Amino acid sequence: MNPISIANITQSPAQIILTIISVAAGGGLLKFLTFLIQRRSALAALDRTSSQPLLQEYGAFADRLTTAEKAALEKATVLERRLVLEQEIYRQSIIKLSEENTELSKKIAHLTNEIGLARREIHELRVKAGLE
Amino acid sequence: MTRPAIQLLYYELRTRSMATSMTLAATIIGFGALILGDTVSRAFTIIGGSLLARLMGLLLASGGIITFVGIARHHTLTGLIGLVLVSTGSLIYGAGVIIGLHINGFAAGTLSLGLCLGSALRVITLASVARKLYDIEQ
Repeated sequence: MNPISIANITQSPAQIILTIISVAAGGGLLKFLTFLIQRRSALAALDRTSSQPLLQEYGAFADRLTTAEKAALEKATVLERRLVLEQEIYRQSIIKLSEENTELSKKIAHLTNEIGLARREIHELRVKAGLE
Repeated sequence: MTRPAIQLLYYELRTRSMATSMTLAATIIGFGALILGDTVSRAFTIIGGSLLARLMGLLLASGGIITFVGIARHHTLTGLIGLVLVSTGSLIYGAGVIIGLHINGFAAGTLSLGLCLGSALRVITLASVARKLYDIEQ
């Protein structure tokens, strides 16, 4: 093998870095897919909750609906799905904010306590120095 | 394609315009990369990663199509698998642009990495919501 052909098969550093990133991305992809497959029954529950077609609920009555009414019902189904999802997302945000609020309250209480101790120490030092 | 499937795609485009159009763009880029190889992007031409460009194209194109099938069939799992593929393809593209073009790839790279992050976060959020709904159902 002559040096030229060795140079031809040698990858550039950029190519090597991108290959490493791609392999890592492939690993992430597999992890994500496994994660989704593990939750497939939960995702099916999401489909059931969000896509119960209103037209099915109306059954035979659906035949009597006009095209516009059917379109309105289908639109309502999609909006209902979005509403359920957004409600859940907001609920999660509220829970997270509440947890953060509790943490901050604890920190504030701790800092207030430290300020009180520092003030007492300053007072004692001033008394010792004859300033008070 | 049945009428409800078209309507669902239409509503998805109306209600989540950004996500749907970005997925469509990813699909187009994916097909471009599959056909053109590394010439699809200056960065990949510089790096000389024809195989990586085609891999990225395969991920973006298949991911985009699977996402649209998921929307049209109203099947969340399929849609999310598609989003994971789009996310991975965007990561490879974003990283490739930044590595290949350095500061000149800042704009396109950041946009692509943003698409990657957005898709991944949507998958995580929907999986988490689905889990909670499942628990409520049980």
